[in-house]
Amino acid sequence: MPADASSSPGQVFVRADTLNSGLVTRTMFDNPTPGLRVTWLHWHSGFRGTGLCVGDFITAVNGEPIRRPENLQELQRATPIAVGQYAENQQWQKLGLAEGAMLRLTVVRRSPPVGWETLEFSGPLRLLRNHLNANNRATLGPGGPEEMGYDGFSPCWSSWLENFQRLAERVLDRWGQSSGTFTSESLLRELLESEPRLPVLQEKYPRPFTDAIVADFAAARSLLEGTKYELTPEALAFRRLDEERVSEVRGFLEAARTEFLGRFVADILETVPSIDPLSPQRTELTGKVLVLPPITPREWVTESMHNYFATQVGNIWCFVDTEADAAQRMQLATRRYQQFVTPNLREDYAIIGRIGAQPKLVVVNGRGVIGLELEAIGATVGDRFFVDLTVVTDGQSPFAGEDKVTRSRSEPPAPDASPQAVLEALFAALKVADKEAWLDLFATWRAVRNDGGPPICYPHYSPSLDSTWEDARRKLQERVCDIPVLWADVPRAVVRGDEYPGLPRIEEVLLEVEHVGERNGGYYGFCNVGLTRVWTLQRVDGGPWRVVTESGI
Amino acid sequence: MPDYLKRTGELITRLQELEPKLPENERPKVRQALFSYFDARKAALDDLQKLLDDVGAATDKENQWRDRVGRMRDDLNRYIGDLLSGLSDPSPGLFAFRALVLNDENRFWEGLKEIKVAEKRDQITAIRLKLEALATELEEKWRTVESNDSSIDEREKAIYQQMQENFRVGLNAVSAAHGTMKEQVAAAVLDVLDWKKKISPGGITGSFSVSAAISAIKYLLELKTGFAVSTAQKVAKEALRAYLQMNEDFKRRVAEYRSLVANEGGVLILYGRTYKDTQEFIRTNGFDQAKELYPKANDSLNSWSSAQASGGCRDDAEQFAHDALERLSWVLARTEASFNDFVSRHRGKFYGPVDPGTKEMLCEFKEWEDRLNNLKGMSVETQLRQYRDDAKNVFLIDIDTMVAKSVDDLRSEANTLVLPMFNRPNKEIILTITGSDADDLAEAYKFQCSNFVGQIRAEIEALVRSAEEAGRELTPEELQKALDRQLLPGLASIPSEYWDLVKN
Repeated sequence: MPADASSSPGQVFVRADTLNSGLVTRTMFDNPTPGLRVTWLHWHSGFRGTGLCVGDFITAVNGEPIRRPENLQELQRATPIAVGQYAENQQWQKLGLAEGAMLRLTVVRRSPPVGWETLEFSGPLRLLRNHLNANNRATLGPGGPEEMGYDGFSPCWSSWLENFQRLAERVLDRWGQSSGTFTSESLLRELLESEPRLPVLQEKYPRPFTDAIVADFAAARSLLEGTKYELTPEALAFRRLDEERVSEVRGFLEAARTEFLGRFVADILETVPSIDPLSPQRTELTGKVLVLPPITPREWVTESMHNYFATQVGNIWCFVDTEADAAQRMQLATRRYQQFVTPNLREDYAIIGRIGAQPKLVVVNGRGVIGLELEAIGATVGDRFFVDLTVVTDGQSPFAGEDKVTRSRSEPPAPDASPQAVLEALFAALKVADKEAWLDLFATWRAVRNDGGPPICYPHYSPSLDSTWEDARRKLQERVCDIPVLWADVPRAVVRGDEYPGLPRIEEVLLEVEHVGERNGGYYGFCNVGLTRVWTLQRVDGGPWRVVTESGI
Repeated sequence: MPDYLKRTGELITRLQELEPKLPENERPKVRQALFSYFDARKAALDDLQKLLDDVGAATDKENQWRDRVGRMRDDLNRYIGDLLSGLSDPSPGLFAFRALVLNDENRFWEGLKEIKVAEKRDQITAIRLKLEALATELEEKWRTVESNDSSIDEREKAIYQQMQENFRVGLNAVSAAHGTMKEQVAAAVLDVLDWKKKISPGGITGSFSVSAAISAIKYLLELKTGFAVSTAQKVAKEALRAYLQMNEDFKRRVAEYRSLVANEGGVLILYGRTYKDTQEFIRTNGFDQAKELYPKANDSLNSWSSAQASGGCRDDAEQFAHDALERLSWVLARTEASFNDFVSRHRGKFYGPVDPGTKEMLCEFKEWEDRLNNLKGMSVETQLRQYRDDAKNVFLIDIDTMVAKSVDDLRSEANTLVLPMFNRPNKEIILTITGSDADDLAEAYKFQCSNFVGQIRAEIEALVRSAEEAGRELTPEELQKALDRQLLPGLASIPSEYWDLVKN
């Protein structure tokens, strides 16, 4: 390893057989256009400053398109020597290239709002070097910090660099990594833990290493802090729709409850006599109606065999079996309320129940308790709506005002609407709580690419989206203010249609959205676990685009 | 843990065959990679077996299983997939060897990832946890049922003891009242009939006349009769009160008892509902359901092992499958133990047919049969009948004869008995009561006596009738009706689905 005299005051040792691009890539030979995705640029890469970015997709090297290996053997041979792979030096060696040889990469990069742009970047190949300072200690680059030095921080610089690079790579390589798998807020906190090191690096080690780190830090920070958006009050008006519907349904509560209680006034027990539920006195209460206080989820009792809404009235325990028909209808009404009015509902059930003939034994907090069993005949839920459970239509009990509540309608996209327009319509339906329109925008088929084999196609598919709807609506009310579509891929066939007779042609397209949330009085893009950033849409035989990603938001 | 050396041996043999064809620089690298892989492979298989070893409460082993297989596949890529790393010109032999290992090992691990044996383990464990939770809940429920039932039993037992005591005290009171009645009625009758003692000489001022004499005797007799009848009434009422008291006490106790029995009916409903729920739960979550999962795991392991291309992989897979099934059988055995524990804790109570001990504990049929027999053995009604019959002994005094004799006495001794009653101022006037007057006197007296006897008889008969009525509810048949638990509405009127569980 020859010493490089020019690197005074320390020394530099050049490592032979290490000629490289300074890139880290991921092979994507199975892509319709085979290539390599850039997942990282080392600080010493010759492509630093050329404009090449993490996330760029290399399709050709020095004008030579990257081809999909024809067989396993070729794949095994081609993979390690591809640019950005661990044995790329072998390739350069074979081509007779030396340090400083320029490498021309043709890359495609997303070009918002639709498709890709093709760019070219050239950078020199470089050999790896080991740097020693005047104290004969290994440093990170020429004039950089000692690999094992601390400068008042912990851990040492080399360990920190490893952690920083992993974090920054995860953030900057967002195309492949970010969809619902990380939280920008927590990653930003983690990133900012490194911020105090930057002034030290800039002051003590103002060299290429520091420049690269500062640039990576700024890029990662910018992404994690998110793009700033301007949202008008009109853009957030959908949140008021929920409030209006809540108020509308709330308006029916008192009248419906009063009318209901009036019907049962002869049977209603104003006070519950203190009786032994085992005694025949119980039969005097049978058929009477009790108005129970609100039962919060904390009071629900879970047994191995059954669950109960449970509460004490005076010293008498009252139980309502959650699986009883009427209780089920009550919970279904709650579900519909959450779906069509607002997902934000405190699930307190103030049940009006008819006392049954038989006593009930339930284990409450490990203690056997004997009480009365009630059949729910009406309930006020979350102090928001009333449901008369004696009214049963098609197996359901409508809550008061259910047939009168304003159902906002969202405009369905045109049959030939673009994928972006369809996805925007999906979010619009979600915002105004138009579940039917929302459901209509999901695909009722499923086509799956089957690498190496014929495609798998399900002509009839029913996505399960009930809880997805509520969850998405809740997030819209709480954390997500808007979901702009950032970019759409170019459609490609997932099923050509000629694989075997009778198959339709099914095309697929990917779209990236950004979730916008409120922070410090402003609106910023952010990522979070449970939020889907990349969506897939498909269409059959040139028909309308429909969403196949089984997600709500 | 087994060694899983069949595949290792197979690959080492292949490597030994291959090594002469490999360049010098590749041999140590391949050997090192292969042995590192062997270590990782063994560790992963051991870890997977350990996941099945866990007989704890976790039910997330399937996820851990898939994660572990995923990590192992990373190791496969790291050790074998990256075998060419750093080699400037890998030899064809190395390429072929690497492809062979990757192909078979990928098939091995891919299959293992999807095998869902850990999922079966999780499902079996979930059943066990439910059974254990249920066993504990049912114990608490049984304690609650038992405690409520015992409390009722204690009160019922107290009622039984009070009944016994009431019978004893009541019989004594009836006995005493009857004794008193006999004595006092007899004394009163004698007192009435022994009229001569009551005549005081010169008690009547004025001259004698037959009508005056009759009036005087009638007056005397009425006086005596009134007293005697009121005495008879008093003692008869006393005796009747004892009957009624006993009867009222009994009726009150029976009412209390029946009220408690009705409460006990409530306990039976609690019990019956829990019993029925338990049967349904066991039908859908019992050990039988857990057992059905084992052959499914067996099938998937067998399919996986038989799908292996290389003999070494197949042998190792069979070994792994054998061990995995053994571990799964432990998990199943642990569930069976929990189920057996559940059964042993609740057999005859909440599981299987309700046993006689449980029925007895809930309904106390035998205990109450004994108590009933004890009460019947006191022969209350028989004794009361005896007392009632004995009341008639009052009339064993031959009142009619006594009356006839008194009448004869009056007729024959009218002059000596009746005349002195008159305070005659002129003693020298001798009067004689004629035979005709004496007959009139005797007839009047006879009428009076028969009236008196009739009143006494009526009082006694009224007593007997009331006593019979009071005692009728204390016959063995009536006691049976009042106390037989198989027939009591409080128990037998509970829904038949629960009553059928516990009735004898």
